[in-house]
Amino acid sequence: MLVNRGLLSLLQNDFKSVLTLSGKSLARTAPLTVTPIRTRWNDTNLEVPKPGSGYYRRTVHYPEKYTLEPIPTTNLGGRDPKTGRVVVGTLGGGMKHPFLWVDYKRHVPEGAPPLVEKVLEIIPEPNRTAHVALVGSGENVRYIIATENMKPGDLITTSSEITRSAVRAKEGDAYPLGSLAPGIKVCCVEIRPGAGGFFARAAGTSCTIVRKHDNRVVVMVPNKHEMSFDHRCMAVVGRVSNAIHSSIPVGSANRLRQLGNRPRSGLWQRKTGYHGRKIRAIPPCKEMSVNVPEPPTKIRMTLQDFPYHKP
Amino acid sequence: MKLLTGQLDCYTEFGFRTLLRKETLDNTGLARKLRKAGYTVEDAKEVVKMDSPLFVDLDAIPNAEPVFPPPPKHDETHPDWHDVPCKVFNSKTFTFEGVKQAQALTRSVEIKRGLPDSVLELGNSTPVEYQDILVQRIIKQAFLWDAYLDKLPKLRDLEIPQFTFRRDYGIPLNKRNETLLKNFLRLCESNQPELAVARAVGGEEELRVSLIKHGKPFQILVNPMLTLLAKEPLAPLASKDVTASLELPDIYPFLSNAGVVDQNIYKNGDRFAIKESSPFPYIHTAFFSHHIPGSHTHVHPRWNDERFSGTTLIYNFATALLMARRKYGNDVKGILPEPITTQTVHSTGQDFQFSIFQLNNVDVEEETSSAVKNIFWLTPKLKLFSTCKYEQGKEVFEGYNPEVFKILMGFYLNSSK
Repeated sequence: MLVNRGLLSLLQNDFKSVLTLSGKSLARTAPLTVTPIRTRWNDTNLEVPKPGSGYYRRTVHYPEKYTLEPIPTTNLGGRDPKTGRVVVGTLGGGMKHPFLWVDYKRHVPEGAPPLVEKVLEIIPEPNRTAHVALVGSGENVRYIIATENMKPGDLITTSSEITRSAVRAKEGDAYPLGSLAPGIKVCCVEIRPGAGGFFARAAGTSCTIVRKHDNRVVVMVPNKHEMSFDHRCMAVVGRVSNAIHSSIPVGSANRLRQLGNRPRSGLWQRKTGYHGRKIRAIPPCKEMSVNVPEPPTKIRMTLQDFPYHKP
Repeated sequence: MKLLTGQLDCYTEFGFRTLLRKETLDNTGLARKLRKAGYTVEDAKEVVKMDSPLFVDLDAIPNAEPVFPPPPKHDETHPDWHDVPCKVFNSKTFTFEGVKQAQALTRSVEIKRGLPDSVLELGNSTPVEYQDILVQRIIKQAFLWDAYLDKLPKLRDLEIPQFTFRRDYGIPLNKRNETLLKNFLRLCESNQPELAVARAVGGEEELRVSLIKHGKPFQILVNPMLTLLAKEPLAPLASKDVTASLELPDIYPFLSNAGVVDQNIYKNGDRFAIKESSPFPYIHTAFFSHHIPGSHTHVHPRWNDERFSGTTLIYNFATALLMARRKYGNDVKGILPEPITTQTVHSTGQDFQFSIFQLNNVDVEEETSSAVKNIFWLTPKLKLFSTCKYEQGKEVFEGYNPEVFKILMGFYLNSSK
């Protein structure tokens, strides 16, 4: 008698997962973690992420304490580290450069006096498009993202105070969005207070403050969408350094491989609505919540509580 | 002929083990037949074990492989773990703000650019016969004629990072500097037989000095390649009253211990291998060799001339403080009865930097210390030569600077009397 092997393995896997369940009810506190066995032939229960869902160039192994020394990384080559399957096909190879730990958090505790730091060096970092600045104050020295006109010897301040009238901002200074005037260009904007800079970290990018209304600040992010942030979110005044990066051509196919990108297919393809000027209107303003959004709980449907199958 | 999979089995681990398992004697069934005929059959191994004098039971021999204790982990179980962290300034650390930061750390001021005149005059006073020829010969011996070859550290150019340079064999930087400095000292000694008896040369060692800076424990770990030891410390070169009116440089917004990493694993107290009962208990001059590969070119954060000079000052301060504790005891505080002076030579092989440090005041804390400060004399980086290498099998030696050895001679002749 022929047996459908795929169906059998499915049933077996389901049986295993049912055994791991603790309670009888379907609603669980923690989501069930299914660790797929990565074999050559097994593609059941493999949850391969889709392109655009994450960062598949490298994973960085951050140590516990901040260091100026280069930190270890593993290149992924477009593969998902859990399943080992290719997610992004155009990544892979290239030079491995020493990775510097860049501190995205320009914070001072609330009520504390503003922090003044001195810029020591501006360093081109090959792992990212923007330049990196070596700054320090007191006992500490760290790397941050450099703005366009930052130079060695500059003094940059970081303040947490939300002033009634807008501050006269100098380039490289970090303030909460609430104390900056509309029309100013900022970079390294936080999604929520204390999370660290997220928007406009790439070379030459910047966000623009559009308007303010009760504890919310509307900012135009680099892809021209409008987003509303909490007024305590920190932002660095100015544009990110190395603005000419986008106008430098790759040069050759060999150079593309040195940068860690794989060759394109070469097939001519008709441009679609994805390319060029957009005819449709920009989407409405998106509101960024202060609280951390919880990941949706996963419910796995089983036959455990089906009444007719109980002994 | 097509190779069968069975023939290739022995090259894989699994196949090799299965082949091993198969190698057994065939059971011919002879024992069963003999037993049927009425004979007693015994195991051959038992017979050999009883009778043969050459039989050795391999299983009964104890395992003679040496067992080493596992190295301690870098966590709280480490024997040198302290809950209070200490800022450790080791041979790879440098001052980010250069000489200014080193001045703030050691509370020292400069009363004259360059070295004192007395030391410079001493260097010119008694030259060795054929001095320049001998010095050039020493340089060539260290850089070209040494027979020892080893794999040199990797080269890298930041403008063409994809380019891998050829990995050359050559004289290791550490060994090269050692032969250079030792032979320079030997040349100094040859001219002054009376002084040579009154001095001793110590080998490479680790000096440790602990102090308190900005209310926190601070430690300086330095590795001089050579130490010139004397019976008495050097006499002071300037009066300490001059320093009261001079001011320390401002390094706002930094503190003087900026960039020095906190460590929980460290050893308490000072360390100096030469005992107090030794006939030569005091450091006269300490020779430091800077041979961190790629430190000036491709490692972030990078060294530069200013940071190099800052470290020279701190190394010199460490030896001076160690000598002050040697003379006046470990509990010495405040202004010293008589200032302690030490000299330092900091070299990369091609570049030489000289400094003299006069320790007037042991207390380096900003708040508690008095107006009296320490004094230092420092030269810029001096090039011993411009090129010294093989080019197409020929020696190329250019741009010899005779001033460097003259200063070194002046340092050697500088004595307490």
